[in-house]
Amino acid sequence: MKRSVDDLALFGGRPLFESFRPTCQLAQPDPEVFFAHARTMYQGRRLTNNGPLVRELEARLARLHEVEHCVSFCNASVGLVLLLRLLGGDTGGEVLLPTFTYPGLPHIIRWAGFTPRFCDVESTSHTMDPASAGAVITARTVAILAVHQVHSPCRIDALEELAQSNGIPLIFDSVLVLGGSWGGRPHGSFSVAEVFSLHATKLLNGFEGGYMTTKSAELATALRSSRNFGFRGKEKVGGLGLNGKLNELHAALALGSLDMLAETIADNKKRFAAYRSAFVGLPGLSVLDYAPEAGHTYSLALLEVGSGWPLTRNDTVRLLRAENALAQAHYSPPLHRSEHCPADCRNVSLPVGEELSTRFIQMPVGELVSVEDIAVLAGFLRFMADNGPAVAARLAQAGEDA
Amino acid sequence: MKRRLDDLALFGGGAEFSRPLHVGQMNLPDWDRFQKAFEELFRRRWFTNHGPLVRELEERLEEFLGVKHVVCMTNGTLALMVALRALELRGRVIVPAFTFPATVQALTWAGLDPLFCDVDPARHTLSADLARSLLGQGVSALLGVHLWGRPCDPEGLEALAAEHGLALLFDAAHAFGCTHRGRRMGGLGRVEVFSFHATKVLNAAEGGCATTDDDDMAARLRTIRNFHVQETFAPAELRLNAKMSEAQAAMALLSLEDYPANAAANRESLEHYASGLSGLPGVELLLPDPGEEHNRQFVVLEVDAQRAGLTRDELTRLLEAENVLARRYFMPGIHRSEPYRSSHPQFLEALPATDRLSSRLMQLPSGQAVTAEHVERTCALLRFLLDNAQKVAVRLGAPQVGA
Repeated sequence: MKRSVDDLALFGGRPLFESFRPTCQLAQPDPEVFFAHARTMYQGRRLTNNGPLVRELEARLARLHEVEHCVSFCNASVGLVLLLRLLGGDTGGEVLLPTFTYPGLPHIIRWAGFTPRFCDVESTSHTMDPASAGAVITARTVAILAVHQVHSPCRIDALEELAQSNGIPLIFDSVLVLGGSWGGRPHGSFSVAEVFSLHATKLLNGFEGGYMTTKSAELATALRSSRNFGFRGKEKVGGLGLNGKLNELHAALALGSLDMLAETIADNKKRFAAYRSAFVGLPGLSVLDYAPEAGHTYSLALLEVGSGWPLTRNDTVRLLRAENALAQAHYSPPLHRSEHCPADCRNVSLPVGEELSTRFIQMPVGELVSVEDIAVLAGFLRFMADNGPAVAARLAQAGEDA
Repeated sequence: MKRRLDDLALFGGGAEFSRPLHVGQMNLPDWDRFQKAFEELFRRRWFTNHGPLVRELEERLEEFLGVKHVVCMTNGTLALMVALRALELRGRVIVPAFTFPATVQALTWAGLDPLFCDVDPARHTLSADLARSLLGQGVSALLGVHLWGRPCDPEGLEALAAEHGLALLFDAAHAFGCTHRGRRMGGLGRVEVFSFHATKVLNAAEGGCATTDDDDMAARLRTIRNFHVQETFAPAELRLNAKMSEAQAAMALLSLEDYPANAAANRESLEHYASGLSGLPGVELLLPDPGEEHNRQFVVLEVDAQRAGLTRDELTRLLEAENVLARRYFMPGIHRSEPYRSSHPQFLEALPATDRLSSRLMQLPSGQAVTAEHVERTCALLRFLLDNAQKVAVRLGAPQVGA
């Protein structure tokens, strides 16, 4: 508990938490489940190359998403590079994406051979604004890559219609809505293909990994071939590919993680409820609500910093991080203003994304954060609220060195 | 033991082996060590993202390979893609077509154009003399492949690269633990790339690394392999998730401990093959360069159909039926596969040594699962086939039962 400004860890006080409180899931499946799978891997001496554990994982994920096909990859980024190339062809073009999202996406688009074209997002859902997207579609547009946000899916119908009317494939980056649903239907069977992650920081932990879901048998076959160097059959290479295979060790952990998915979501829900109840009455701070019409997995807790809060968003993040609460500025700066954007596509104005990127904090979540921790965090921010001017003065005095 | 042609599985007999023998190492560390390593990993709860096991692996590999920097990645192909981007190349890159498809595909993903070069018929690798004839066509780099772990003309290519201001890098996927002039490869060219795929002698399930003595190059490699702002060590235009996980690193560390034993077992196995096949006409085992260390992870056999009386393709078909899953690496050369077949048709008939090797080489089973007895029986099978080559060939030409 902090009593004076000197107690703040940024100014030399003892941190609130002895160990890190991260902003990601880090689910730990039962090691015994992992070892049981690993034993079969030893018995079959099969460590990769579309092994039995990968096949089992893909079948179970297809059922989870209520979709015909699931194709796994060494990670989601590599899967997305392959998907974009398959859909967009070998002769370049532009891929539309929102500016308020994951910084890897513009890189992925360029690895696939295309130029990223940013569009704006909507102020409530934070997802791709169909009007902004429609305004930048040209003859060079080869795909629309829309990203569901953790608290709200995209406007799926409007984007589907936009894509269809322009004859362009629509892809959903569904990394943040794994396990969620829209209109009573699980994410995974909308658009041409949806991409999910098995990274340890996400809901399903496969160390590293990712997968794609699709209704199209043809696309699934092409993805399987391209993740395996373009092999079609044992010896024939039928097109451009690379090594995008998920290995059996990673599949084993993901299977264990899948066993406890319902529990993981229930725990997230409890933590989010703790945020909702502990973070009331803080001036200018509010917990971002999850959209009522969709099913969620509550894997992030986002705090919105408004004008009534005595400190800047970035200073608040710095103060939290010093306490070992590894809060992060959420999607800041927006991608079109970031180092992740090639110089030639920075010169656009996307006001909603620009504004949102100044406002949110990702708060600690996941298995290393307890409900009690959340109460401690709320107490800490209440101290900030009560001592705002003193903290701000001390920050100004310490400058960037603190 | 086969006594008559009818005993051959392709002609209706029982297969020599009840379970298939595979090409590729697939060496596993013993279970207890595996379990202990993963229990510790779970206790630490560090699954990926610049973890302690990846760092430890990189340090151990730097020591083992005698190179300043080792940067571990998801797999060898991604490591090569990252290395090519780190070199900041433009235009065309001279590369052999007699290689695994990934060597050339990595160029395409890195936005570069392959310029296919033929290989030396005896060494199976690119040479400076062969590469020289392709210079002056917008070439910015030479990508050599240490095929079968044998060095790819390092001095010749180094001199050629220096003379013409070209970048030089090596695909060393086959060459882990192999020496050139007494030094382990890893420090040749600007960067070398290794594979730790389960079929290789160092097994991370999947995995790979890029190695270099150049500090700036290492900083770019470490930056490009991830998207994390806090893991930025040099300006990099384009980045990727090519991180190796802690699970892969745990596996590779165990495999590295086992390397001396696994290399010794491979040596023994290759010696068994050599003695089992000695004196057979028309087949020749590929052997490491004398006086150099070698992992001997591949058992490569060259078939001269004229002298053997059977073609490589006939032999692999016959062996496959017996559950000896010999593989025809690399067939065809990547210049004959899409997309290059269509995009680079000028090379289709330009690589005679590559085409010839593609029709003559096969790999035989190796690794922990293949015992001395398996090797002896495989050799006896080959001996039977070649002793009866003429009759087998005639029978192959006739309609077959169950084939």
